[in-house]
Amino acid sequence: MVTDHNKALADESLSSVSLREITADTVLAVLRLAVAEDQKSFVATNAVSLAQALFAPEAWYRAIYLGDQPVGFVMLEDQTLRSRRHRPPKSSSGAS
Amino acid sequence: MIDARFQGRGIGRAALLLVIDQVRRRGIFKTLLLSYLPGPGCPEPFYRGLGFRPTGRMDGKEVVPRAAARSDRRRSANGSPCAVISALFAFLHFLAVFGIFAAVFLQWRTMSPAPTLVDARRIQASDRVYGMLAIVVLVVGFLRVYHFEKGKAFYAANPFFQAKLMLFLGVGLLSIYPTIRFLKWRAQTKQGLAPVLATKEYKSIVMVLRIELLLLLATALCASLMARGVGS
Repeated sequence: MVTDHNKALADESLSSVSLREITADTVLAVLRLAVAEDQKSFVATNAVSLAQALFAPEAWYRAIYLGDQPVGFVMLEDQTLRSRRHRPPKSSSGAS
Repeated sequence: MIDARFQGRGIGRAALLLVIDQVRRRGIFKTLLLSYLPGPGCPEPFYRGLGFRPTGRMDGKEVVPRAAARSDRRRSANGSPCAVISALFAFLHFLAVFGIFAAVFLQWRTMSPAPTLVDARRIQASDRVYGMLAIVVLVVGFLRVYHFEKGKAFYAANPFFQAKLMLFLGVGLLSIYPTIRFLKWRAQTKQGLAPVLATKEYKSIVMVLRIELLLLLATALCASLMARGVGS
């Protein structure tokens, strides 16, 4: 963890900031990210946000990367996702 | 959110710019809204810098500013309390810094091997002003670090912030010597007499004042580098 941190610190360029989809391989790294102790009242933990996203079709979220290191998480509400996903999928009714 | 270890380096800003860019490129949205709890240390200046402007809407206790999702760049002029207070503190800080520079410069220019009574009183007065302004700069400066601007993590991690604080404290320490000399003059100036000083004393006072001015310039350079995020 410390070496990852130093590697990312050496990578100063903000042009290496990217938004990436969270995958099964990266979700734990995203869950481990946390703000400073005195900032915790301002924002939900990533675990809570991802749990809420599971039940909110309009939630759009990405991991924030600095180079190849996950350093943050962003989530927003995209109203177009709600209408798209709420259209009843006629052909696949009954699918789990 | 940005992990605590990576804060204060502009990553959040860069990420939010990517989000805004993606939203704009889809071209189907009119506005982008966000919300935060208003109050000291709130991210208002941060979001304002990214184009978010107050709407007057509330989401519970949180304010909801908006940014245009289409690239119309109309700028609304209505200030919000956070930005205004933050700007006022910045103004106060700069004003005090200019005052300090002016006070030290005045002392340096007025100093002479045989100052007249008027000169001596002017130097003493500007030294008092310098002392008060130095306190103002430090107090306002720390308020800005803890309650406004970029958040204390940014400053703690920035080498130029540390450098400028050290330089400024260096100026403070150096100024102890001339201040003590100027206070000693009071024995004479109170009786309406010009102070008499040895050549050595004059030379060392002028040298200290010169170094103070140079350090103040270096402090300003560090402040500019810090404000642009160099070294963080």
